[in-house]
Amino acid sequence: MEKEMVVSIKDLEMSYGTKKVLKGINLEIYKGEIIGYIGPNGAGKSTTVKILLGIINEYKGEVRIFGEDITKDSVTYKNRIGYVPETAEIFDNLTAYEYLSFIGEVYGLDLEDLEGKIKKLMGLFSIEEALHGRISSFSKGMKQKVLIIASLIHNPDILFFDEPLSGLDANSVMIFKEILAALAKQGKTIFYSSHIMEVVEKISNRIILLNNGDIVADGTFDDLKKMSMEGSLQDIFNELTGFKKYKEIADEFVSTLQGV
Amino acid sequence: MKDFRTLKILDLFKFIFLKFGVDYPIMRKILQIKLTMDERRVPTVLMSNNDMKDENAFNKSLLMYLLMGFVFMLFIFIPFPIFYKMNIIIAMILFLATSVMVADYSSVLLDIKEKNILLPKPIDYKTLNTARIIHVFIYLFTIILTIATPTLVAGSFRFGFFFGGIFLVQLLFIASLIIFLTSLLYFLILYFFNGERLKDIINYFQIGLSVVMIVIYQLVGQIFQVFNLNVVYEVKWWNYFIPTTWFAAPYSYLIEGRKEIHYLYFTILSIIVPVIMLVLYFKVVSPYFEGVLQKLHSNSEDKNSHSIKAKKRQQKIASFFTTNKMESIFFRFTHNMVASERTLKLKLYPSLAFATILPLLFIFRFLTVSGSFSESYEILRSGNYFLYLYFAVIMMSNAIPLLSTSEKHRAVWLYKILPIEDINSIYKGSLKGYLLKYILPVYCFVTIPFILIYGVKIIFDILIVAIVLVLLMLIIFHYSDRPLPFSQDFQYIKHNNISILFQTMMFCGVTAGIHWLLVSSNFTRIPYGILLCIALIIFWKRMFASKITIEQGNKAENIIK
Repeated sequence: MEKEMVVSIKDLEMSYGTKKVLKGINLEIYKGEIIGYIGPNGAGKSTTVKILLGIINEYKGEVRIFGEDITKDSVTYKNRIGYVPETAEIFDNLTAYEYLSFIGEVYGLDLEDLEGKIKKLMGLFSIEEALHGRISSFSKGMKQKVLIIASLIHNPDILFFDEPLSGLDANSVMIFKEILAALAKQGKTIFYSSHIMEVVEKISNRIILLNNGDIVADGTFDDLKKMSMEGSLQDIFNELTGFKKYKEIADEFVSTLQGV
Repeated sequence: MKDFRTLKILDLFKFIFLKFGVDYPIMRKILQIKLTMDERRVPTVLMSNNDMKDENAFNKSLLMYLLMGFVFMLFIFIPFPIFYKMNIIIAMILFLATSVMVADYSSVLLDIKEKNILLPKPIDYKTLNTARIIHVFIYLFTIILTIATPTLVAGSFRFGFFFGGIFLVQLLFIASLIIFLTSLLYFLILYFFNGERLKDIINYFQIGLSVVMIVIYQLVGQIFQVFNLNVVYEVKWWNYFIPTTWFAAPYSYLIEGRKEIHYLYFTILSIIVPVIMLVLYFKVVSPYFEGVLQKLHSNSEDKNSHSIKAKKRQQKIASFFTTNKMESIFFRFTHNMVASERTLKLKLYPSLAFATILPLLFIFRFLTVSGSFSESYEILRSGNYFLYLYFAVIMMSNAIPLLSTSEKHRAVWLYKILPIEDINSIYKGSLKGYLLKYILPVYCFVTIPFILIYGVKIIFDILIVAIVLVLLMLIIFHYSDRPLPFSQDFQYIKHNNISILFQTMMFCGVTAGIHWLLVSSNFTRIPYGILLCIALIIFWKRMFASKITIEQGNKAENIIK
């Protein structure tokens, strides 16, 4: 199968004031990839995602999604994108039904179809009884489920997930991971950003490691292993981001507790 | 950390707390932390003015209460029996203090966040709950004392220090009565209903109170006239249920020396009821209060939005008034948002209510001021006083900047990731939804008394004023940088207010002036009406003439970040 490019980023630079958060990123992403997008806090992960989503537009460089420059047509491609943000500020005074049907309709879905779809999806996540409850009264996991449904309801082709598992119970995590695998098989592209390395290691078929606004590693898990001689992704992460002192710090922390 | 004077006073009552099984040293520490945090909290009202940051907003509000207290004090000097005066004064204090309690301190009483922080530590329910009650009590009592101080001083001069003594003790009882009653009420509501319902009830209570407050301010002048009736007091059975009569009775009994037995009963009630409340609270409610508070977090069905049928109807209405699908979506979105956002409602409803009441107040004043009722009614009828509607227009135009605000304004990242071709659809949909659901129905309501007085012949004039209202709102919206709906913090309104208010008044003055000229010279208003109509249509078209995406709408963009 010929690999189809869905996202291409060329010399992407971005600064907040004088601080450069992205220092010229180049990326090509193909259809059906699950990309583990990782890096320490402040590496520029969220900024990249926000640029791709059109939330931030004062960047330098070129971003193409489905072959189109996103500054040329900033609207059409959004129909094919889904997003679960990390810290979700949402209109939680609305009920789950109101919120989801609003979003679905903006994506151009028919209200009649949406009704059944929302009910079904919420039922599958076993939160059907909360359909007409205000989101503000939901637990963290329930809210997360609503966000996940909201990001997928229009059956998008590219997905951006930022810590999508936070708050989900173990069963829902299993369901969600299966959903990811099934979506990728259908040819969807998934951008998966997380700090939990075990999950990223398992889920992704390509890992991109960002540090200080630069890509420091890009490849499959096996590629990365070859690069660094280390065992797990966690170890690779530590090595590539130049962090080795964790053991010393932990020891000192504990001994301070004991008052030594 | 600072040691507060209030806490030192509290130390005097340490034995009471110990008696109820409260861990006093821990409670004192919690209170100290709370008071420290309160000192640092910058109230939202003052956040825009950086130079005012250091001033304590609480002290500022006390100044306002003191002023109100001076008004209440005046009742001491009216030549009524003391029973009546104290009834009125205590009623005002009770009312004001309850409204402050519900409006400003409900959140303190119902705070569940602190519980998550404090309860994992070795602190028991009772201590935590007592700390919370005392925290509220400190503020409430300070407020009550401030309101009452003018009366306390004036009364003591007039009736001797005995009066002052009784009054002071009563204030303590009043404060506890209010706190225990509200928490008891909250407890019961939470026990039988869910948290969302309680929040709704508090919300409507707040809205109601702020409306009543506005009306009271307007009517203070009238009150003295209304009370100028011949008053002879006869005790009725239901008087036993009115707290103000309990608290007013001791003055009759002890100071005026009226020894009727019901005064004694009232006096006893005024002591017994708060004490019963106190015991009831600590023995029955306090141990379970934290338990039911958990309900505030539980999810629950929202009955109002449950009916799919209602949604269908809403959808029909929306598609009738809108020209494309995106508009219709935002038409409904606006309905749902305004209907469910409590903070927004708390700002919107009182200003709409005031718009309804203001013209009525003018009529009311008109009817009570001069001569006999029928005479002044004739004058009213033969005049053109329906032009008072322009005052309602001024008040209602305040509602338009509110459309851009929300407690959840940070959620507008959503607008950016959604495939919205033209943000004009957002504007159009939500403006139409807002005007049709909230503004125009209220306007129709305002006009009812005028139609009753002047008959249907003023219908066309009413239409003209309605067009002026809509036009004014669109102008305000257009020239205030057209923020996206629900995209702003409530601060936004403060920044805009003064200049907009001034321009609004000018606009209303001019349009009302033209209208008045036409009416009083008996000239036909039809051409003027048509002219306004055309102006409205042209303005609407011009406003949304060029297509803008979210990215292009650079003004909107600065707002979203």
